[in-house]
Amino acid sequence: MSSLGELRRVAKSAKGAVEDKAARTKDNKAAYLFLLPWLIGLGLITIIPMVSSLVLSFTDYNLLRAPSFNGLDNWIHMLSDEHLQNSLRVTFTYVFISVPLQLGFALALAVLLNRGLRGLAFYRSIYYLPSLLGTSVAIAVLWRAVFGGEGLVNQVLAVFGINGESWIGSPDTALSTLVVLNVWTFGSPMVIFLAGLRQIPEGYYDAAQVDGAGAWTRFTRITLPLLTPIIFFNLVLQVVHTFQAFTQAFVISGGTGGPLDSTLFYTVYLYKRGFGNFDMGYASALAWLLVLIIAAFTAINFWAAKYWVFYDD
Amino acid sequence: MSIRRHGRKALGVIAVSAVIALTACSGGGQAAPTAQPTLSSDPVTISFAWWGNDARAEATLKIIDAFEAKYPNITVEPQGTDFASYFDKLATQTAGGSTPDAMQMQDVYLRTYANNGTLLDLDSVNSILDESGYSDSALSTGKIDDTLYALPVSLSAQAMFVNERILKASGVKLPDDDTWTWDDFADFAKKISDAGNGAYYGADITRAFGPAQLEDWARQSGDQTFDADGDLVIKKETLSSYFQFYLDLQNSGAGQPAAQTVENWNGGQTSYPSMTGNAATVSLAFNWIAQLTTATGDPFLILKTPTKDGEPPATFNRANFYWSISSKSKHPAEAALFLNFFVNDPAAIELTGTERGLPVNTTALDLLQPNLSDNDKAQLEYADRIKDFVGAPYIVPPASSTTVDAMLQTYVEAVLFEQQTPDEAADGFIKDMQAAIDDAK
Repeated sequence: MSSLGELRRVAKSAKGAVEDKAARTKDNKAAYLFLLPWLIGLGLITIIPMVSSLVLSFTDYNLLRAPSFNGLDNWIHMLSDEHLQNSLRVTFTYVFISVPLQLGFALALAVLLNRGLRGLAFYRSIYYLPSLLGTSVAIAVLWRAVFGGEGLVNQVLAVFGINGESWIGSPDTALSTLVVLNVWTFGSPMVIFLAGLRQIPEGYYDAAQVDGAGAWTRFTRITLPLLTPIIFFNLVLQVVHTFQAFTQAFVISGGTGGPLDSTLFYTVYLYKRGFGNFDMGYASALAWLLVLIIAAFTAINFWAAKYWVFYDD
Repeated sequence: MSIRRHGRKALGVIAVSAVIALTACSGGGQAAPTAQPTLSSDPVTISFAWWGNDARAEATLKIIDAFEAKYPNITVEPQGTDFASYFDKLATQTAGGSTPDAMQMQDVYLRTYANNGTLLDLDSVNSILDESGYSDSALSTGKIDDTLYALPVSLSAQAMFVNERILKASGVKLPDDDTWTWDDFADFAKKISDAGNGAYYGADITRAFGPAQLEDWARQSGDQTFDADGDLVIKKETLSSYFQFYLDLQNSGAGQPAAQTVENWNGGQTSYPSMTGNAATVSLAFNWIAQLTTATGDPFLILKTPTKDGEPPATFNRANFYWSISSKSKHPAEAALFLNFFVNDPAAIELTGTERGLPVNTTALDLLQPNLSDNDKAQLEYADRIKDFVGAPYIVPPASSTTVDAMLQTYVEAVLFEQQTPDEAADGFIKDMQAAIDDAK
């Protein structure tokens, strides 16, 4: 069947003109055919591995030998694993600090860009760029150069007579440099905020202005409430995302999560257990704990949304 | 967003393929064949995995070409990667039942792979893979429980390198390395730092993170980190004196501050202060001479490592890396034939040169003798100087040895940042290391 014929049929059935069951089955078949590459991918690289890793989380598995079941051992071990507790502390700190900062930054820039700036498309692209590069190895390497002992930041400080030590080498500041890196990749939430800002009817602002509302009042009373669904969307997305951060910490700490485990993100610890200690059973259990943590935070976000997200329809 | 996710996905895919592989994997196994396998005359394909840079890859591919020309029925599938991803890939391949037939191996991983039955007993193919150019002591570096699982490519012992340019600039007098102690060394390094006044340091403290440096320290204290069975035997005093030494070196100003040391250590070998021309001395295995001179453009002296109390040094050999064959290989004879070609054939020896270190195989070394570079000669000279002090080879670390680096890092950092005293760190290291070894058993 030609694709044109297929389209026409779809169009017809969409109008409800054809109530032909056989034809619909045929449509479904075609749809599945087109979906097939994606479905194969979903099965092979998402579902099967996820189920396997769930099974592995109940095994002792060193990658080199066949796994053997050890019941809840991995899960019980987590309770007393100090390194795990530390990696959770680091990861939570990272998520709780960098997500609000990143979203705040993204919103502020979106509002600025939304004021009918000339060359908006250009600025939008420029600001979006870090989002594309932010999790790449190249940027993590660049970050070493910026925050290293002889890096850009310290060279600027030296002009003012301040002799800074290595930001990435000090346990007090290493995590902060990663937070800054994450905030710097504000582009994708910013683009979504921009789209959201466009949806707010101009009329509201005009009316408010007539009533004498200033810029700040208009922002807090009109923009923010109407933008809450978008803020919520970005928040859910970034929380899920930030919990899984890996590359930045891995590259900047040379795969160690150091100094003094201060950048030992959950995923870095998981990787170290799996490929460093050949403890893939435990690493699988860790992966599932992360799934549970992210699911819990997403659920909390959705529950809390009832109290602050405003849908204007 | 979707694009940002890809980076992470790439890692996911690695983990995932490991997991998928599991469904098809049948794991362990042992059964080294008792009889020597025979060569097939049918077309055979074997895979060969190594790590290294582009220059090494180019030379390796030429060797493969030469081998295939000599044995037209055998095809070698090259699998060259960089070191950073080599062992992740090898673990994943092994989990998936597709371990390369012949592969490069490193001592920190050797016991793990051998104990899990993934490596072939090389004596079971010694009618094809000729080991006659190797001394017993060289071969002993590749043995676990008296079974030869790995053929050493090159050996090296610890040395103290001194950057001659910095030495000259500082005007500090070089101590006699036949008699110097660690105290003399600390004094020497401090004087250089003082002369440099911030422009350079006397010592490279990133070396505190090296398990080989710890072993060197232990040997001189009549101790060692692990025994032949892979058990942790190092005494607490040995460890705490080691930590104390580097802490003092740092706090005296002989080396740079902790944060800088950690940054440079995490940045990998190219950012060590000795490799960037910022530190005058460094304790490293003697085969590092070429990397040091290339990276800095400066000439280096190879000195004996200082000793604890001025007595003759006690040192050890360590294999820079090895060749191994998979116990699951369907073509062990051909894999052995290929490795034999690699280490014993004159054409392959010429193509390799000393890029993989000075060959421990005397057949190869004799052949290369006329064309050795100055750096190569300096290494041979040093090896000759210390040959009477070389004790048992570095004991292949225990099954959980990949964690030795990580654990040493944890406690060296704790000491350098003064979060723990050397005594506390020594206790912590012993406790954690013992737990990891027990866990792997």
